[in-house]
Amino acid sequence: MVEITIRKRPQTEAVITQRKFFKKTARGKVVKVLRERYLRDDVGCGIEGCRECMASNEPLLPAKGDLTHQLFPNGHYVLPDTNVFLSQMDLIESDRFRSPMILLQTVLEEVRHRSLPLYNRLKALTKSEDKRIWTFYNEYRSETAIVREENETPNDRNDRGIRIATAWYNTHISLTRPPIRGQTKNALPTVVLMTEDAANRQKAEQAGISCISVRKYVEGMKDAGQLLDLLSAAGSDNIEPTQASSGRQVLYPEYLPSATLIAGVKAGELYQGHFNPNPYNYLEGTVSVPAFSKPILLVGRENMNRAVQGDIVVVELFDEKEWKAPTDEVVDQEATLKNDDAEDSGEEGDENAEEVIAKESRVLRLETQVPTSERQPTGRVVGVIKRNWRAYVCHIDSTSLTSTLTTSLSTQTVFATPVSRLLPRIRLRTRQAPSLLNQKILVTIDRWDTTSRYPEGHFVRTLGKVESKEAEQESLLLEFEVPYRPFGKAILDCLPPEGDSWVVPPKGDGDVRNIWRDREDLRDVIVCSIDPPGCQDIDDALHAKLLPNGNIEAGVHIADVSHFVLPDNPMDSEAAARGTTVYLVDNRIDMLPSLLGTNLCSLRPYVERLAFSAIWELTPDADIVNVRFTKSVIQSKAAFTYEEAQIRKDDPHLQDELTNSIRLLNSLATKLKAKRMAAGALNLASPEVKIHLDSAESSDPIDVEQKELRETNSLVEEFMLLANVSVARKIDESFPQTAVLRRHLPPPKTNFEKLQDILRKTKGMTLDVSSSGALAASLDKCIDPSEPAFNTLVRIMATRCMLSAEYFCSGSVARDTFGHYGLASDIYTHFTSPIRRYADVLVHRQLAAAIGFSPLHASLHSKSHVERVLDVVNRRHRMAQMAGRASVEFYVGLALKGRGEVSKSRGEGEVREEAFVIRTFRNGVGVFVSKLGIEGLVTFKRDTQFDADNYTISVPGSASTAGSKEGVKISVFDKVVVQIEVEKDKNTQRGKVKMTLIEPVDSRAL
Amino acid sequence: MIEFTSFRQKPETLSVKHPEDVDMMDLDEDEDFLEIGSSKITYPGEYLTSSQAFMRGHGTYVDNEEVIASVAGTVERVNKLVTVRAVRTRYNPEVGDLVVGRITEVQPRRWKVDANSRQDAALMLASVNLPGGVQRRKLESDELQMRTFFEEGDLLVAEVQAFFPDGTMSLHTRSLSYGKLRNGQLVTVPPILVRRLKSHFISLPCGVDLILGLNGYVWVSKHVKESEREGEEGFDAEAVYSNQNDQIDDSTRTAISRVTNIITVLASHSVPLSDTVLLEAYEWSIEQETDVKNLLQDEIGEALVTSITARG
Amino acid sequence: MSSRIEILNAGGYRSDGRRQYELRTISIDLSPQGSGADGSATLSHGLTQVSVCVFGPREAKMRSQTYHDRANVNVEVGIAAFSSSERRKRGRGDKRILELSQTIKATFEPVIQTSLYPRSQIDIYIQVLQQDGGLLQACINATTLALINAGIPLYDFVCAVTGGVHSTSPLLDLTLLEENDLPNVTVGVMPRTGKGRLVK
Repeated sequence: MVEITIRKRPQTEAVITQRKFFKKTARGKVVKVLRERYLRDDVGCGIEGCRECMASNEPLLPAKGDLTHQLFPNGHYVLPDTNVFLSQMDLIESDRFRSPMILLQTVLEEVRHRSLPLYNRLKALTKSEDKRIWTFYNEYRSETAIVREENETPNDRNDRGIRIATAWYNTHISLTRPPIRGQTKNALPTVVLMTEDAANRQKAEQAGISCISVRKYVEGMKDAGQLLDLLSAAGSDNIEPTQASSGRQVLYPEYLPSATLIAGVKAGELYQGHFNPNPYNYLEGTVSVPAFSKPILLVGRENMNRAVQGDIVVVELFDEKEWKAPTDEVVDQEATLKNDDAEDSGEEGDENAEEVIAKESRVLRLETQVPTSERQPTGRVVGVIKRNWRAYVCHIDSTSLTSTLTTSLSTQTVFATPVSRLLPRIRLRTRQAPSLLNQKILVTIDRWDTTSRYPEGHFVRTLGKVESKEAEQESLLLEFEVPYRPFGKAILDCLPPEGDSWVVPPKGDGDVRNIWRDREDLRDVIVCSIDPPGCQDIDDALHAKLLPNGNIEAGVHIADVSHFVLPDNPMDSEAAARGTTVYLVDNRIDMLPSLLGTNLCSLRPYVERLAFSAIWELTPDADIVNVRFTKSVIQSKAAFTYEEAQIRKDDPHLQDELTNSIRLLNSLATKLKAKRMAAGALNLASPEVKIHLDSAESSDPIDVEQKELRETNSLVEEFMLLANVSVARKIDESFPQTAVLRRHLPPPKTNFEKLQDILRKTKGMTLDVSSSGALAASLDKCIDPSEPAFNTLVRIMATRCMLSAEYFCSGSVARDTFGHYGLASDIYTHFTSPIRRYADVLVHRQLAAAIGFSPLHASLHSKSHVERVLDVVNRRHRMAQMAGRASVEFYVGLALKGRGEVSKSRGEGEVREEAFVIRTFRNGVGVFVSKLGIEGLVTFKRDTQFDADNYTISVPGSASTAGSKEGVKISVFDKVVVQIEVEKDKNTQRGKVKMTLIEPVDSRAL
Repeated sequence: MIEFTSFRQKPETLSVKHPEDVDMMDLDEDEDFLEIGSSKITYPGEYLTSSQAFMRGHGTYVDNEEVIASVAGTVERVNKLVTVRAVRTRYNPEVGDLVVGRITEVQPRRWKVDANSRQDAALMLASVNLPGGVQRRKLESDELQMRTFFEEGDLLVAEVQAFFPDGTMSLHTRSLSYGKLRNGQLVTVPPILVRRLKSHFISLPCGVDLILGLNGYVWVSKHVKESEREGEEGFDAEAVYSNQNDQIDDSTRTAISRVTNIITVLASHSVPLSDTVLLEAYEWSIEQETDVKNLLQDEIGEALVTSITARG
Repeated sequence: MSSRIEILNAGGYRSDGRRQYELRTISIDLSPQGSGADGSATLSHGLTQVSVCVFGPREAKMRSQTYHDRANVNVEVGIAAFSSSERRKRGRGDKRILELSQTIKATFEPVIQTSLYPRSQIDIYIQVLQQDGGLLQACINATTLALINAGIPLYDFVCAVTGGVHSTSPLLDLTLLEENDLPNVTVGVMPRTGKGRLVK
């Protein structure tokens, strides 16, 4: 029973504790606002051993403060103000910055108000174990709470609050530690106000509060050298004023005030959306807005107006006359701007700048007349609602260095080129530029002024040497925001205390924890698992047997993760935040600690494991007679790979129970699949390749090949689909408001327009997209007898036109949009992989509640909570897929390099592969190498004839065939041969797959 | 204004002065609320005692063999009967009580009178004295002209005669001292503040008469000279049902207002009314030379109450 | 979800400095409201303020509304136009007001010993002066006090409080801000029997 108390808010304090005022809203309504505040004396100071403040469970600040700083020999605590966090977050986050810190509520709230991403980073910091940060709720402590005075701006009020809190801390420390008689006066630590605001410092000094600027503070620290680099550009303004910025040429239009933006968006005059740069052309970007079916096109640097990928921007539309079609040209930032000087760029009278502008406008002028039908709404960015800046993985551009002497420690301005093609170069100042060459580094954007062509940022940390696997892997994880820190202690504490010696207790008296309660004993059932080779986290197992009545009992047994991961404990929160396990080629970032994932939950053979089983009775024609769900204990009899299972099934000599049950399962699966296909399920293809690794240690890739699919793959898949659909129906029935389901919306028809057009013009084929069934049928007809891979290629391209599937909460969308387009199922969820997907864990909990096994946790009754969790899971899921793909790409690159070297040494020349053209540009073609599953770009330097309507490009013949004027026509879907090599970019040291056309024309000379 | 700091704290005692010391009999019980002199205050739903040993009275009910208070007030015990007297309540009539009331409705052969009770009282035509003497017989014509005697809004003083089976009380004015009221002003106070006195007709020396209705309605009027009392020679029998006020001089008007305000002030401080208290208060206000209307100001009112209670 | 204010921050404080199970300051004024009511109470929970006057038991105004065996309880609620954040006049027929008065009537009818007063009527007039969340709880608590103040016999009294759930942490006595964001429930209990009188 909790103790309920009534807070007293004395009438005499009403002046500070309650506020009533009238506010005018944006719509002009007058609203009465009531706020009160309860001041308390039990807000702890957070210093260890303080005799007045109650000890709390949270980690406290050391009693002595920090003794390592030069200026404060008696020990100190830092108390930073809001701006320090807003501009110097990387400094604070650095491992070297270890001063004990007091974070005021005022500051925390101001940070939250100003920037949510920064706030989230700050929150993460306060929780991290290697930081010593105490959050002091000064607004609730009676001594430090203040009211805004008349004629005081909110900022001044906050600053005053921060000063008062600092002063309070200092007196609090001296009061609680009075000098002991007879002893020398003990040295008391000081609380130091850290602020960049000179005026604030002055006021603080007047009040006798010790204060310091960030730079000065850092200079006195042990690791001053490294830390100084982390200081962001924004903060150093008042310290070393650069050239008068008024003298600079303004390159970008100013943003409109935010009130105008909001009003404009409301009125429908302006449009709001995410900025999405074109990866092929850095001078072009798009913003998707609901008002138009096509995204709004932004052409040119000025119109993109300092937007960076992911920013939420507001766009003004041009007149329809000025609407353009997206260019068909590849414009590479590096090629065009190679000579731009980092130090000078953006200064007035800079010849270089004019040259750049001229060059860029030339690129833009190449615009030819395009039919109006292809024109897209075109506009310009007039404001940014929310920046979505984070840390980016970059390389230092070696040409931008003024001095490459590694000994040179002078500060220089250099360019950092982000790995992602979607981002602009970032200008940063560093002292360690030479040592950063050939390194992958993390850079944050601080600001982007109208006078600066490039955004300005600062260095965060290095990830390692370029192409070293560690650095590449970490950069990959960072790029896709995959949380990869090892599990903390609080999380590991949630594991069973027995560790890996945990076993299912014997049934009966030995079962002290009541694990057997309501569990079915399925240990005698012949269960086996079928997985890819080397699979450690086995989360599903199957069985089938004939029933006396001629029907077949089939069971799917899923690891009972929800038995170990209880709702709302640290492990659960961490799993929810991670959302999914991320599979990279040589690594796996687990969602759950490996003790669970690869041991206790993994349905390994010959051991007893807890499972959640779905058991059907099916007719021999695979019609469901009934289904039931139960928690169970199973003992898997075998763990097969797909290949082993296949061999076993096909071996007519084997007649044991296990083999027969596989055959039984297989026969059912075939029928299930046929039914599904008949219902209109799509058979889509995506380029999946397999990387052969040399050995576990070196993990050098040897070769790449496309994954092979066996019958048994589809066996497992069919039963998983069956389980998922059955479970989805059950939980939706039990929890119509909060069931966790998965859906795949039908793609809008317009997505297919281009593909349909290409197919019609080049191959004379049609694609019927009226329904998933029709699409499946027409895809089956897209066959080029001479080219078996063509069908797969069309499927891949069709897949790209579709939307991606997503998790959702059943109460939040209309029932008629529940369907899964690709699977042609009216309802679907994910139940079968709780070890590696968090949504499955939620589904397990809901199913357990639906069958009355355990009550549903309160959070799963709350629609908004489920929605919030699923949003994260959806995003993580997407990111994980992208990270996985990027990892494959990296390894393919490495493998190619290896292969190239081998063949070169043998004198066979470079790697050549067959490829298909999938896209044509004015000056190049996009190709897809199906064997390697990679896409590449071939550019031509010489002029070409481009026919946008027919998706063809005519390339003049190579030197040998120079006589023919016509040149060679290349169109989409044409088969070509490309030479693939891995080339290091001279500037960035970034390994890059370079493709050149060998057939039908040799583009090396072009 | 009461402020709680915690739920655990007992509800603070309300600042109510008790009209009477709780009169207790000798005790053979150990329950301390029944001790002599202790004025235990109850709240609704509070357990008092076991129903096997005691009988429940007003303000209590029995549930599960327990006597439980149903109102907030003081516990009283007469032998085996336990009652709770509510701190504030509507008037609970008893036969013989003197009440002041107001006519709300004229019905066949009866008037309905608001007497601050749970239901309006009935005044039967048969229970009033009609002009023309005590012995006069009621005629059918009297039934038709009932409004000439009392009409809606008229104030009267009467005595509780009996109760009807449904609990409504029946009044009578068959005494010369009862009847229609005029030449004065009505003040309402909580009924509990009017004690049962020897006489509820009080004449203050300042030329003001008071009728303290037990139902909390107090009539303050111009003094009627001894000679003009009913039965005396100056008694004007015709004026008994008159709706006209007599001439009242300014000093009397002031005195009436002063007494009215004193009663209001005393009532708001929960001081029980009696002739002595009123007299003292009147004298005090004359001594202070305060203006009549100033009496209603908080400070002066409080000063008045302190001086009265100090003396009493 | 409002992004500006945290309902419950990491330190365990709510937006007004209270912790999860702390109620707002309560102040009670039982002095007569000057209208000659038999019982009255002005109660505030934090900044929510409600004034209740109880008249009766008294002669019923409408004879049709009387019962021969018990008293009729009549509840009328008025919400001052200035009480809410948006100035708004609510008429008598307003659905919200009707619902509120019905709830209160249903809560108190079984608690009042109505059978003691056949044919009479008890009027409860509630005036909402200021709203900052927990309106129903304030109305119920104030009505209880006013009824006691009027000396009307009750079987027990009713105390009410609002509770809400933020994610998985329960909060008590919600402010308007919290009420807008959280699922909430008002519970009325009778302390003697511990029985619930109302869950809404």
